[in-house]
Amino acid sequence: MTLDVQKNYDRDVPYTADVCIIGSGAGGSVVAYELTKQGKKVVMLEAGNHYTEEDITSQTRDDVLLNLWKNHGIFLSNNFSVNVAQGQCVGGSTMINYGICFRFPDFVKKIWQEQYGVQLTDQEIDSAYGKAEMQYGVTGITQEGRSHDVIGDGCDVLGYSHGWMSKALRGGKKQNALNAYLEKADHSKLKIFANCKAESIEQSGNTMTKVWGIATDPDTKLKHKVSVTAQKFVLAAGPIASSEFLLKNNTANSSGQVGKNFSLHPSSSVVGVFDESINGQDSSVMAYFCDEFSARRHEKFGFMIESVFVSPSQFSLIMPHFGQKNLEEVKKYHNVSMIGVLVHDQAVGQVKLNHNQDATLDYSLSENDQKQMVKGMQEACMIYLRAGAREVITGHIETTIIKSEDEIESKIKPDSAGQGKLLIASAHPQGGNIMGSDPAKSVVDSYCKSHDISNLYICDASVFPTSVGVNPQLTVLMLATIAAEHMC
Amino acid sequence: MTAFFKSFCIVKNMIFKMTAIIIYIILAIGFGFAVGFFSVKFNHLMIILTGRLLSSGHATNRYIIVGFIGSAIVFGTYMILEPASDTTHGIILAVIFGILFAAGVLVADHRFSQSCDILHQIIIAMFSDTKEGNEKTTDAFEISKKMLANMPIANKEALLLLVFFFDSRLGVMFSSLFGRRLMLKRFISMTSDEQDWYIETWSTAMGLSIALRALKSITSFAYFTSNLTWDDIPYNGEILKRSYLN
Repeated sequence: MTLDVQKNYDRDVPYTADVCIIGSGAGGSVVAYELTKQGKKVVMLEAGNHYTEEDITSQTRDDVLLNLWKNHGIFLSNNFSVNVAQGQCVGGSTMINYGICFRFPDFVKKIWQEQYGVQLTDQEIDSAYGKAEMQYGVTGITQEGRSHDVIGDGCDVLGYSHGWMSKALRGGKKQNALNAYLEKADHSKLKIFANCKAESIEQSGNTMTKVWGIATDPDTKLKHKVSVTAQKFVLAAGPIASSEFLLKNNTANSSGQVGKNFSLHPSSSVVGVFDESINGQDSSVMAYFCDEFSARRHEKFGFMIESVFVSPSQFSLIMPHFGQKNLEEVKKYHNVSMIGVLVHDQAVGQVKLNHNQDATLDYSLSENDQKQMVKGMQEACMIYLRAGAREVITGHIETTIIKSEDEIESKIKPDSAGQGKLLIASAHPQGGNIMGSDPAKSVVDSYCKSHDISNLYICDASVFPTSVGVNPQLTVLMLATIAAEHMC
Repeated sequence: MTAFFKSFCIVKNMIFKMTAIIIYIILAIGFGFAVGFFSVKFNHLMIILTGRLLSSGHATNRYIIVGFIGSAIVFGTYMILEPASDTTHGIILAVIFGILFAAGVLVADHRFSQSCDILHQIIIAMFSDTKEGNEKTTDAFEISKKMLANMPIANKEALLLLVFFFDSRLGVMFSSLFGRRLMLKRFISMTSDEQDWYIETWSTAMGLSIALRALKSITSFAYFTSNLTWDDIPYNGEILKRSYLN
């Protein structure tokens, strides 16, 4: 039996299930997999479309692949300082990320437990991580090309901690929520409504009884209602959309914390240009890290340095100049390695609604996060120069090219990560509906259950009390695994 | 003689009065249109400089408020300058101002609605040596249109008005303040050297450099997303697909 995904609509659809899951990314898919295995009838509402592996491999154009991204990858914060990229398709962001998996640092776990009253035991966490890693095929990678291991060369010279990442891989194929969870769920118990955005709810006292989604037929563009009656509801639409859904419906928010405590791992780029041919287009997008300055090694929030070899369209934005001159810079593509500096940021952001009831994001780097970003970019430059780079180009708005170590501090100044000075992107939105033991300061408990609504769970990165400092998808899988066990 | 003189005075007063009314009407028309037109432009400038799009629809409500306040000022000013005149005249002038204000806003907005075509011209100007462009710039424009159609409405409007302002004579004149060179041409009409000067001015001017990057984020991103441009790099097109698969 194949996965039952409805993509087209010609009428309104009423549906009844044991559990209704909003969103089909990492968190929602784990819950669907676990609950269908236990015989529960599950329905998922997914705002994006459904794409099979064949849909993706048959495309010859990159812009078609942009359909897998929410808003084609564009969601700018209100002051235009950060772009947050998210997936929007069956499988969610796991379809468009690079499958990188890290467990969260012990220091982060300690903060969650001690400062936010998260009551998950070490044993529960380890067990759930193990289960998720098994299901997701988390594998250590060992060789992925020169664009990545030049970073190792630089780190070796500097004596920094570094290594190959772990990745969700099985049989040479990147794993995602679709192939690792949804396709392995009990298909007789699972129904997915794609192109269907959950919009409103019906509530009786502190119990949610019904969710309405608006389904848009991708061919006719006509809209129809999908109404789902269920005993339990799981919100797993991602930090921005989950907060938007709760704010729009004015529910689960007695604490007033919905949308708050938002973080996003602000990232900026550093490009090392080498005389030797690096030929990164024949390697993976992400594979290598330096954690010398991260919470994995120190009891403080810092930053991760990660290799990330992007496509020419993204590369062109980092390189200097415009138009034809920019094209000349982009031609250096085969001689470059690229680093993303990922800052373990403080939760200073907030998701709000605009006049149209759509989510908007207030976010600016805190002073400390700016310092970390500057330090991270300086260290990334140092790594490349020690690895033999001819020049290093940073993602600053003002073109910044560094050719020797002496220039690093003078060209990457302490205030150079301020508003409007640096290109900042994020693929790791977190927080907005944080977990904790105090209902006055948090939205869900340690098992992702709403403090206010007795049959509502939130299973995505929005429940993170703080950012985790490493790629977050494995932690989403871990928390959803625990939540799914707790729901039964 | 006295009767003639009286008649002459009446006619003279009538002519003066008529002339004054015509002048007031012309002023109301001119100011109304100009205030409406430049309210839109000023709003665009403020959004670009402050980096904030305060409301979707780029401030329709604000234009209505400005229009009402402007009309009230016209009425009040007329009544102060011509205390002996009929209140109806003041009201008529205020209404004329309001109508022309609305016309000014609509004309500026109509120009704004051409932003998408201007974006095409900017892509051609940046990546082609001809005014017509080529298949690469055409494809890049198609991609940029898809991106605009899919992005959040507030982001889309902000980017389009940035495109509009970047190309406009007002934008060029404004940049002249930083670039120490007077230029009155639109961007798409400039020579290659002038375009370089203009871009350089934007990239070094406080507040404009980030706007320039935002513009690049759509023009360059769309251009290099087009598979027709990959042979120039050369790029085999595998990065994105591989990232989804292995």
